[in-house]
Parts: sequence; structure tokens; C-alpha cells
Amino acid sequence: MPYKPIESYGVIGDLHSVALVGMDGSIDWCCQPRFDSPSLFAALLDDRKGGFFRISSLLPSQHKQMYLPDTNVLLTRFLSVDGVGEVMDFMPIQEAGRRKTHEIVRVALAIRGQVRFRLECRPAFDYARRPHQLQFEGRGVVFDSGTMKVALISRFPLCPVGSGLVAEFVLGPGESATFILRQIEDREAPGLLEARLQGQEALERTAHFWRNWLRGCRYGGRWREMVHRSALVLKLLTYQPTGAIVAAPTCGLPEEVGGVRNWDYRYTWIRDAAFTIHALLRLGFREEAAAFMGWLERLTEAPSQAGPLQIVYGIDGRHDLPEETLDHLDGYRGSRPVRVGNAASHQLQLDIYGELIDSLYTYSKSGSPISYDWWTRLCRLSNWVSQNWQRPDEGIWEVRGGPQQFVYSKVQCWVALDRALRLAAARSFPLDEAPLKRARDRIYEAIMTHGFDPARNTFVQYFGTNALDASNLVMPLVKFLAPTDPRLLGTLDRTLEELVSDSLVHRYEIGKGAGDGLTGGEGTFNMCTFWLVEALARAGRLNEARLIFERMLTYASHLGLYAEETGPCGEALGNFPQAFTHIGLIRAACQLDRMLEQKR
Amino acid sequence: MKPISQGAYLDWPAGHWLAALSDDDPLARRLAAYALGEIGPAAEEASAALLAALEDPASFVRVWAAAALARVCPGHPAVVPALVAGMKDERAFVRSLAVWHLGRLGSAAAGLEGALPEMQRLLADGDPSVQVEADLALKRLRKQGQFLARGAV
Repeated sequence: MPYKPIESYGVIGDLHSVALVGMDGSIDWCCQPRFDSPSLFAALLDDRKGGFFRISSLLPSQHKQMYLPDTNVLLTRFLSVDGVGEVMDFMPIQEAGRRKTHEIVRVALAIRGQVRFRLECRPAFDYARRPHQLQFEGRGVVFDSGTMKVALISRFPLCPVGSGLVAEFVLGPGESATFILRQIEDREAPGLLEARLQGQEALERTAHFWRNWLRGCRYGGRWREMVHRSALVLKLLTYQPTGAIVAAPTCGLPEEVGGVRNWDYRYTWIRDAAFTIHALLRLGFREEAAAFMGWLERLTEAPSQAGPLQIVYGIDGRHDLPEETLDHLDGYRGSRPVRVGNAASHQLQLDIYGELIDSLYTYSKSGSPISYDWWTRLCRLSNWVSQNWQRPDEGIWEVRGGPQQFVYSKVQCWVALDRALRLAAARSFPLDEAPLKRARDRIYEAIMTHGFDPARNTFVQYFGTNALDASNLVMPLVKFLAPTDPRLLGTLDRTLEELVSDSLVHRYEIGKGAGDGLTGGEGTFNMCTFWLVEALARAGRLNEARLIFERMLTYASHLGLYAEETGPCGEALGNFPQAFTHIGLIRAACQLDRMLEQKR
Repeated sequence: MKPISQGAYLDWPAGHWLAALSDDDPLARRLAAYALGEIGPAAEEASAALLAALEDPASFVRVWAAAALARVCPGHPAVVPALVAGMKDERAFVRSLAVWHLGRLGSAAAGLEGALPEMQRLLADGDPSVQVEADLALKRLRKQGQFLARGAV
């Protein structure tokens, strides 16, 4: 089974984990029971031994995919002259207080004609490292790996083939058949095979959950469907028990096919978290922002090695994310190594303090005033920044080639202190302002003196280089400088000349500036493209901004999903779908729409 | 699409499944019955064994054997009575299975009228999933056949 394009997958989830479903009806990625659990299906990373669960029509068909409107219920359609079949996939949302059961419900339907389907389920536990036994019962089959049991409940008898199961069945027009893949967190719990085999009730409940949730969205501007889809993706990436949001639900998808930049994104970065809060608040989702704030608040109680905060945590708040390579896996289209865990977790990345305090500031300003306890934590963070901002760090891109004085990190240190001062003033919180103000101003001068190249009229990646970095596009977004400041306009023009290709933005030039310590290349970075849109819009260059934004929309998948990066032929690269990109889309759409309205 | 008339299910010919119909494991016999049903009239050699399987000790095997017989020997008179008996099984999933198969048979199946009272009775079954399955089966039949349109359901 050849590898499919990354962008050809749809995603479903239950706020604990997700499954990626290909246009051919194959679930090629799913970790159970949590986002960061070892995989059950990972054909995405090894098409021979990774494991998959496919239900597809045996008629030679055109394949289409869509979501039921305003939901994360996915419909994969098989269209042929002789018949039309569908597979509807969803993961029911757990009700509070019920036992921890995770299900993938797959409903096959014949819409027109007699449709012959083939089901093939080949799980491969623990990233295909752990074998399993099959236990047959009347209502289905249990896959038992010794540490985990997963049941496939099926009305049709399932035939064992190797370590998997196969069935073929014919459905007449209007007829449906439901299959449930089920896991109970308590391995010894009874009733693993007890589930109703009518998908309709679970479907209605799940669709209602998503539609009801999306009703909380206040956005009514242009590109509403894309904004709504992005919001649904962000919610899908939320781990309900803690409120944490994973950067992406996959690991090992390459930033360059065949390359080595293959990271594990199934964790929660403070940076992404802070940006997510901004995006959710913009759309009116206060509850998610509050849950995330609660998660962040708990983290600030336990300092890390590098500073008061670690850059990335497990979705349960754990600090330790040991990195290992899965050398037995082929990697997506041979992109090796496949990494799980994340060795960047102990890096020093100063920018996270700015992003975090800015999100607290926005949260507080949006009508949820932060508590005194939060304020004391925030004081501790901002005091630490005022004393440590001069340190070199690994920066936003987590370079592995050694620390530098990154301009973006300094800008965010300035943001941290600026927002702390503003918050103290707005809420009359106790604060010894003078040292913070002095540090804030020193940072500003340092950026203007060492982070700007007068000869090229542009801000640079780090002090002393002339290399560019697209992260500097964020300066007007965080109000570090006026959007029309000549230094920013110069930076915009240099960025457009040197980092932009066909409207898409490279985050930096590989081989120039700070190295990431790795060989090979990468695609353009979607978040940076959306930052460019926002920076251009704020600079009043609305036509340019709109054209780039609209072009960027054409790089979305058929379902409106984005990975981290986009390749030269428009292909998705990197982990998928990625929160950062969808956050960028939401921010850019909101800003651009507002400014277009103001212009009318 | 692999035509059923090729005489095989999952690349195993009817003879393979016919032998499996005598397996000690009732789940293997169920699978064999299903496979023969999928092969359909091309598995005609299995009709006697399927008829015999209507007396299988496992009720769910009897139900699957009846469903298979309906496809191997369309119109066979033993099918509906076997499924009606399945609807009276003590296990809810067997009742549910039997009524589901009746819904799939189509309104032209021989003797289907005789099954309708039992199907309707299952609308009030103690198990909700049986109720839902009975409702779906009756609705499916209602869309078909003239005798149903005349109000038999």
C-alpha cells in the first residue's frame, strides 16, 4: 500500500486522541488512549508494518471526503457508475463521569446500487513493536497485546488473516453496517464487546456535540467556513482532562520528504498554548481559554531546569519527554528517523515568557480578570525575564546548532515585561515597576542597536548576523513597533524579497544564519505566511495581504486542513493537522476582515 | 470488485468453507456459513450442509446458516422459519441478528409474511438494540414489496 499525500487525510477525534482517515477509507494513524500513547495504527510511518484499519468499496471508484457540516464527523465517499458507497467515521465524546472508553465508530452505507465493501483491520501495538493475540467472540474480536485490549465489534463475521482481520460484505441501497473499534482504559474491565451496533444514535450525539460547541463561535466575517474548520481543528487537538492542546496529533511526518526533520508534536508547547488562547478568545471560546489557563497555572508551580518554565510539557503536565528514534519504522516515504519524545524540552527559549504573559494579559482584558495568585506567579516570571533576557537561547525554531542572541526572543522578552507593566497598571497590582521598566527599555535599545541591519534596512535573525528570520514579522502584531515604522517596512520588503516564494514564507534561509544542526531542507512555514498577511494588513497593504491570504487558502487540504509546512508543489509537509497553522489562519482572517471592513 | 460468481470468498473456494462448516469451533462454523452465503449460488454444493447447519447447537450459527441458505438457494422454504426461531433466542444479540437478516432478505422471500408478527413483537423487546434493529428491518421491508404496501406491516 503506497504512502498517500499527507494532505489527503481527514481527522476525527474524541478530545483524548485522533485518527487520521485516508481518502481510501483507511485509518493510517491512531494512538490509544491518548494523543501521546504509542500508536495502534501507524501505516502513515510504515506502510508495511505500521498497522491500519480500512473499510472501502470494492467498486472501482472516485474518492471524495467531507465533514458533516459544522462537525468533526468525516464522510469518505466512493463514487462509481455501479454504485455509491460511504463510510462515516467519528469518535464519540466521552460523557463526564462515565468509564474511560474510547471508540472509533465506522458506519458503511450504500447510497445507490449494491456496494461491496472490504474491511481490513491490522493493528500494530506500541509503534508496531508489540505482537498481539486474537480472541474471537460472537460479537467481534479482541486484539490483546498483553498490556492493552482493543475490540472490533462487527455484525459480519471477521476472518483472521495473519495478525489482522478481513471481511467483505454487500450492502443494498439505503442499508448500513456499523463497526466499532473500542478500548477501555481499564484493561480488565468487563464489557469490552458490549456496544450497540446501530451507529445512528452515537452519530447524532457526536454531531450535536460539535455543532453545539461551534455555536459558541462569534466570528461572522469573511472566510467563515475556513475559520470554523480551524476552530474545530483546535478543539480536536484539545486533551479534555487537562485542557492542554497538542501542537499536532502526529509524530515523524517530515518537513522534507526523505529528510531528517521528523519531530514528535504530540505535546503542549507553552508558545503554541499562548497563541491558541489568543485565537480562541478572538473567536469567543472563553471556556477553552479558561481550561488552558488552569493547565498553565499548574505548570508554573514547578520550575524547570532552564528557568521558571519548560518550553514543552506532556499533555498531563509531565516534564520529562525523553526522545528516542523508532529505527524499525520506515518513516513516511522513507523519512527517517521517526522520533518520539522531544529532546528540545530542556532547551532555553526565552520567547515563551512573552507569549505566555501576553496571553494572560489578553485573557484578563477580555473579561476574565486574573487572580492575585496568578499575578504573583506572573511577577515571578517577569522578574526572571528582567534578569535573564541577555542570555543566548535556542529561539522559536528550537535550533540544535547552539544558542544565539535571537531577535525574536528579545522581542518577546520585551513583550513579557511590557504586558506585566500594563497589567499591573490596569489592575493596580503591587509591583516594583522600576527594574522591570529599566530592563524593558534596555531590551528595546538592544534590539534596535544590535538586531537591526541599517545597511539592508531590516531586522535580522540574531545579534550580529545579516540573515533574515520570518519570526520578526511578529513585531507589529505584538505592538513592539508601529506597523508603518520604516524599519518594519524595510523588514517586510526584505522578507518578501528573500524569504517568500510564490506567496509562501520560509522561516529562515537554511545554511545562512543560525543552523539547526541538521542536513537537508524544508518547506515554507505556514504560520509565517499568515504572519506576513497580518503584518501587511496592519501596514495598510491590504491588497497584497488579501491576495497572499487567498492564495494560502488554496493550499488547504480538500477538508480545509493544514500541516506545519507547504512544499513547492503545494504538498503538506510536517505533522498534520497543525495547531500553529490554524491559529495563524484564525488571527490573519480576523485581522484582515476587520481592516477590510474599516476600509469600506 | 471481485465478482461473487468467482466461487470464492477472500480467495478461498467454496470447498474450503464447506469443510469449515464442520469445524469444532462454532465461530469458525459461523464464518464458514457467512462465506458460503457471500459466494452465493456458486456454492450450491454446500446447500445440504447449510440445511443441516440449521440444526447447529449454536443459535447464532443457525441464524447465519439460514441467511447463507437464502443466498445459495434463493427462495428456500427453510430460511424464514429458522430466522423466526432465531428471533425467539434467549440471547439479545441473536434476536437482533435474526431480525436484521429478515430485513435484508427482501419482501419477496418465501414465507416472509409468517415472520412479520414476531418481528413486530420485537419492537417491544426488553433489549433496546433489538427494538431498534426490528424497527429498521420493518422499515426496510415496508419500502419494498406490494404485500407490505397493502398494510401487512
